[in-house]
Amino acid sequence: MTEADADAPVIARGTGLTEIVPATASRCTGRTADSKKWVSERYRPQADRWLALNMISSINGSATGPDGTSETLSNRTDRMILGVIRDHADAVLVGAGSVRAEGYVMPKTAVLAVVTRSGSLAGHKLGDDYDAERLVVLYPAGNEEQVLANLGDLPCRRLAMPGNDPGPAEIVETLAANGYPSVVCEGGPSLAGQFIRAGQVDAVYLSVAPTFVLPARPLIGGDDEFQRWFTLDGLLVDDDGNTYHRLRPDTQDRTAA
Amino acid sequence: MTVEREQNPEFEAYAHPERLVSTAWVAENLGREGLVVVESDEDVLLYETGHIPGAVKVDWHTELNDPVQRDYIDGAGFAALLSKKGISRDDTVVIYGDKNNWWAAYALWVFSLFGHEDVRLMDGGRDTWIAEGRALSTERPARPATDYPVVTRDDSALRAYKDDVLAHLGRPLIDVRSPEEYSGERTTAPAYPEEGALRAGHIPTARSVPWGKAVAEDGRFKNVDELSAIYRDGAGLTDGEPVIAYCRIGERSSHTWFVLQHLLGFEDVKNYDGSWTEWGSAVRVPIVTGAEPGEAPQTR
Amino acid sequence: MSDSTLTGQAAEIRDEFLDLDLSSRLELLLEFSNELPALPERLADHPELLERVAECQAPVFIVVEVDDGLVTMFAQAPPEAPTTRGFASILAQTLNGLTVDEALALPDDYPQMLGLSKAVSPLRLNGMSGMLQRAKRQLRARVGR
Repeated sequence: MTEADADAPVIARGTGLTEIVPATASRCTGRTADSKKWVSERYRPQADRWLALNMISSINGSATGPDGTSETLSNRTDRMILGVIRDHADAVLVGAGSVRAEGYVMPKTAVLAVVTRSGSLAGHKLGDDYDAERLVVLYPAGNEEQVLANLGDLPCRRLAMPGNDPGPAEIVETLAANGYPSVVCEGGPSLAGQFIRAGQVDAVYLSVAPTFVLPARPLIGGDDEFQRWFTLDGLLVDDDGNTYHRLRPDTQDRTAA
Repeated sequence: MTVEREQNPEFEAYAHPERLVSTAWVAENLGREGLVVVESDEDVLLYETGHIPGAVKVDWHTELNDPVQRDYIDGAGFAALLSKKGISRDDTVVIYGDKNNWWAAYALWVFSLFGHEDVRLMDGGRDTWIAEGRALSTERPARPATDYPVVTRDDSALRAYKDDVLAHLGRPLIDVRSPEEYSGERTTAPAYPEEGALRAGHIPTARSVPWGKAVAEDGRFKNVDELSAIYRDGAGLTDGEPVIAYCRIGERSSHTWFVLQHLLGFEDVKNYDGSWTEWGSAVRVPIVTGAEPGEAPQTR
Repeated sequence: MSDSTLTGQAAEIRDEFLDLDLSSRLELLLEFSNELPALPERLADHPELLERVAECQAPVFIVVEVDDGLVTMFAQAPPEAPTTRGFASILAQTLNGLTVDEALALPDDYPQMLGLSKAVSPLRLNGMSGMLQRAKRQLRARVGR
C-alpha cells in the first residue's frame, strides 16, 4: 500500500519509508508489489548510460560492521532498496576482493561484473550452478596470460580492457560496448574511490545505519588529498532510523567559491 | 585450566555444589581465562536478541543432534563443535538458558556424555540474569578456535535406552511431564493430530513429578530440604537405588536428572531421552493411563 | 531459486532468505520477529477470537480475517519467543493482501522452502507448518469451504 492508510491493518512494524527530500512526506509501508514500485520509481536511472555507486555506511563512516562485512549494517529495507537498484542495472560491478569477502550471490537479472587485475577469484561463494553468461570478468589486456591462467575453467564471460592499467573510464566503456550500459558499482572501497576521483559517477546511493562501528573501514580508498561535493537529490528514512540518500555530483566546485 | 568453584553458602548443602554457579559469580568472573559461558535455549533466536557478554551459543537442535539419526553427535562431531566454539577440554564451562535452564541442562547432560569434566549450570538461567538487570550484548565473541580432542561418547552411565527402561520396570521411574501428559488426557481438539506420539499415558509405575517442582518461585533451584521432600518423601526415591527420568524428548528430564544427580546426590541416575515420543509410539510396550502409576507388567 | 509454485510476496520472501548465508538467515528471521505488530485493540481485548497454535512450544495465537475478499492474519506471541514471532511475522507478511484463493494455494511446505531447516532445525519448523495449516483451516471456515 502507498501513502498512510488509517484503516489498513498494520502487518509489519518498522518497515515504513518516509520521503524527506523532496519534501513530499509520502510514505510506503510493508513489502508489497506497490511499495516496491514506489521505491523503484525513485531509483530509476536518468539516462541509458548510467553509473551509480551504491554504498552503506555507519554514522562514523565505516563501510562494514565489526565483523568486516556490510551485512551487519544492512537490514531488510536496505536489502529491498539494493534489490531495486540492481533491478534497474544491466550489470552489478564489484572488485574481486568484495566477491571474496562478502559472499556475493548472483543478482536476479543483472550480470555480476568483477574487475580483477590477476584473475584470482579464489574463495568466491557464487556456487557453480549459474549460467556462465551471468558472470563477467573484466581484466587488463596487458595481463591476459596470467588472468586466463588464474581463471582456469571458471564459467564466465571474459572481457579484456585496453592497456595495462585500465581505470573507471575503460571499465564503463568496456561494459557499455558489450551490452551493459547501466551499471551499479557496489565497491569495494578501492574501486569506489577510483570512480569518485575519476568523476565517473552519475549517482551515489548511500544508506546510513544509525550505529557507530569500530574498527572503521573507509568507504572509499586512496591516500592523496581529494574532495568532491555532491547535491542531495533524494532522502528516504525508514522507521528504524536508517537513511537512504540519493546524491549527484555537483557541477560546480563549492570549495573554489 | 579450570576456574575454582564458587564458595556460596546457599549451595553448600547440595551434594555437588561445584556444579552450580550464581549469576553474581558469572558477572564477577566473566572474561577469566579458562572460563567459557555457553547459552543454550529452546528458542534458537534468543541468543541473537542479546546474551551474557562473551557467551557463545550452542544450539541443541542444530548442533548437538546428529542431523540424520535420532542420536547425539559422535566424538568427532563434538570435538569439531567445541573446537569451533573455542572451548578447550580443560575449560570450565558454565551453561545457562531460557525456561529455567531446560535446554541448558540438556546441553550439560550431553557435555557429560563426553566426559567434559568441569561443566556447571548458572542457577536461575537467562531469566534471572535479565531480571537482575545485568548486561546483555548482541556482539558475537570471536574466540580463537581450539583443538578439542576426539573423545568417545559414553552413554552407559547417564543415558537409558528403551530396552534399559523395559528391564528397569518395577524400579524407580520419574515422569517429569505435565499431569495432563502423564494421565494421557487429550489436551488439543480431536481434529488436530497429537504431536509426537501415537499413544498417550505414562510408563507403568512411573511417578509423576513435573520438572518445575524443583524450581523455586524466583526461578532458581529449591533448597536441598525442599528437593528431598519432593523426590525422597513425595516420589519415594531411596538412596542407592537406580532411577530413570523421562519426558517427551529428554530435555525437561535432563533438568530433573541434574537435580537428582548433582543436587541430591543420587548415584545412578539416567535420562531416557527417547522419552514419550519413542515410548508412546513403540509397538507392544506397556502403557498406563490415568493419574495412578499403575503396576509393572509380569515378566514373561 | 525459481520455483514456479510460489508467486508474489511468498516468492519474494523466499528469495530474501535464500539470498543469504545460514547465519544471516537467522538475522533475517529476527528482523521479521521484530516486525510483528501488536494486535489491534479490537482483537487484543478479545483473546477468545484467537486460536492457539499447539504445534509451537511457545504460546502463540493467530486469527485470520477476510475483508473485501482479501486476507489478513494477526498473531500474538511473547518477546521471549522470537523464533515463533518470526514464523508468525513471515506468514502474516506472506498472506496479507492475498485473495482467499491465492492464500489457500500457498503450498503447505512453504515453511520448508525458506532455507531455514539447517539454521533453525526441522523440528522447530514444524511449528510454522502448524501455524500455516491452522491459518488455512480458519480461512476455509470463514468462506465456507
